[in-house]
Amino acid sequence: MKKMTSLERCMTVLNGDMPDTLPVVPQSFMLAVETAGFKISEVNKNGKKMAQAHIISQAKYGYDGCVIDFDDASIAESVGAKVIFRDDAPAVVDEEQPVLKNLRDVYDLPMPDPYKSGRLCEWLEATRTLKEAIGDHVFIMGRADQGPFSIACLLRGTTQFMMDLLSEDKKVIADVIDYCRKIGTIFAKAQKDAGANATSIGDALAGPNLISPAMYREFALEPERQMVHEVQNYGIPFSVHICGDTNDINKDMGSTGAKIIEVDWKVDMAEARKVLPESTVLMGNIDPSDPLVIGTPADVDKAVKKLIYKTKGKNMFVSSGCAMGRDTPPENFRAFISAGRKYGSYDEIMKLREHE
Amino acid sequence: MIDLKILFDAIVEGKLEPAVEVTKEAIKEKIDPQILISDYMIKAMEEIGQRFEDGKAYVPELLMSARAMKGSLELIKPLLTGKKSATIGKVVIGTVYGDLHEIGKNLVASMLEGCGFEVVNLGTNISADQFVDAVKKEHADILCLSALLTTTMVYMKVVIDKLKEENMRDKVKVMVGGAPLNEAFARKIGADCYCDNANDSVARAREMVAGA
Repeated sequence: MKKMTSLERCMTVLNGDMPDTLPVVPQSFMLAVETAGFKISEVNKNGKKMAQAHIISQAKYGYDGCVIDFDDASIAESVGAKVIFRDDAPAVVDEEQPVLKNLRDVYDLPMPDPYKSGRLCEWLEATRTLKEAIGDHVFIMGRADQGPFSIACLLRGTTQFMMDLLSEDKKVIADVIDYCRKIGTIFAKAQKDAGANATSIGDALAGPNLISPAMYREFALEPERQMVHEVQNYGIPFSVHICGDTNDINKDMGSTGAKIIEVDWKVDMAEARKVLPESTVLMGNIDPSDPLVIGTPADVDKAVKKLIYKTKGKNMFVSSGCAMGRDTPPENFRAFISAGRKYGSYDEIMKLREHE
Repeated sequence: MIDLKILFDAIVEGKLEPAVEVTKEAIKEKIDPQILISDYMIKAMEEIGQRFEDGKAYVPELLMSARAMKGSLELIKPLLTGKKSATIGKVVIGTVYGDLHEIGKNLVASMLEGCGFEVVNLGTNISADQFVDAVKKEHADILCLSALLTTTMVYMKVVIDKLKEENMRDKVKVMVGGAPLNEAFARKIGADCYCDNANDSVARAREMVAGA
């Protein structure tokens, strides 16, 4: 099969076909900053410079997609959250000074302007810059920060919100999460306008590491579903990522209709592939800690091989399970990508599927 | 005579007000505070802890139980001073330098406290010096280190090395936890044990003080 560009590779999978080799789209935004020799504080308020980091990193390693992600604090910041900036670590919301001291304050909160509020414009600038520079041959996932439930946690303070779920008026809780859905949607649509090939939300705080599957279905799922529909109708594939062990909610996540579902390393990929709709692209799931940081290149190779065998490369993007640390050894990252190419080639995948 | 089972139920169900009310009544009736702790509070935290480990209770439930437990414990604590120590061990806990995550760490702290340990919670972003100073000052039996990032978990080794430097390593047991960790990593950095959930941390902590 003729060699494809990275972009063609990813678009082929999104169209439900098998490309020349499985796309490798690692969650390597922090590693990109490290590779470029920048500090996080130099790039997290500067979209153009953030894009530079991705350009340098993608050129060096040759993976197929750039995942643009600054931190988990930007959408909350855009509506007034206090943020802790550090020299060389991602910005975080200061949950000790929550925006929602009272849940009902949500009724007075603003709608953000993605081009003016906080640093959302920098995310969009990064997408635009990257698109202009390499978007003709590399896939660009411009993330839209956190999902509705997670934003609610950040605005209220996660510990307090977790308890609110059991003690507060359900209608008010729903209104808070709905507000968060609206502001997230504004940003996601702006990523489409900036030229991203796909956008996404991270809804980690709604995962089974924190709340039960029943609570996920009660509070987080419908807002995610609504957001997926609205953003995909706007014309861009949408991805939902929940960190941690989502085996019990993968089917629900798939039911949102999201074109891409990103899963973490504890997820059984064969099972996930079975319960997700066939047309959903499954993205994941090499453990960012072991083997990607503390393992050897041989360990990484073995893990990627196992991953591809489990899914037979059906409708998938090979990725890390979650954000990769900037302390990922370059040789491990190289092994990750080359294993993807080695075990994910068209011929290898066809051989795998012959045995079905 | 107050029905103390209400205290047990209130903590398990995460109901602060009944927990506080029953505790006040029990204190009025001069019930031995040690009985309140060992027969009701600890048993209740063990119950909710087990449910958490079994996937029948999650963070919201555990937080509410911890809050109810603390409400009760606040009233009982003043009655314990001067008496023989009611605690089974002393723990210093914190999230390592560079890391601001704390929910898991706070749950472990609550579980340990609710199960009879005295816990000094240093908070987040704690340096090796701060950890070692606290272990010295508090004469801690156990040091619990938490991290949620691959980039910060490596700092746990810095803390353990500092303990060695200060000739403190054999005076305290080190327990580590956090999503990116595993048993192999814990062994590699010289920790005494790795726990992957709050309930397990109580069991392991009890073993460590018993074996000391």
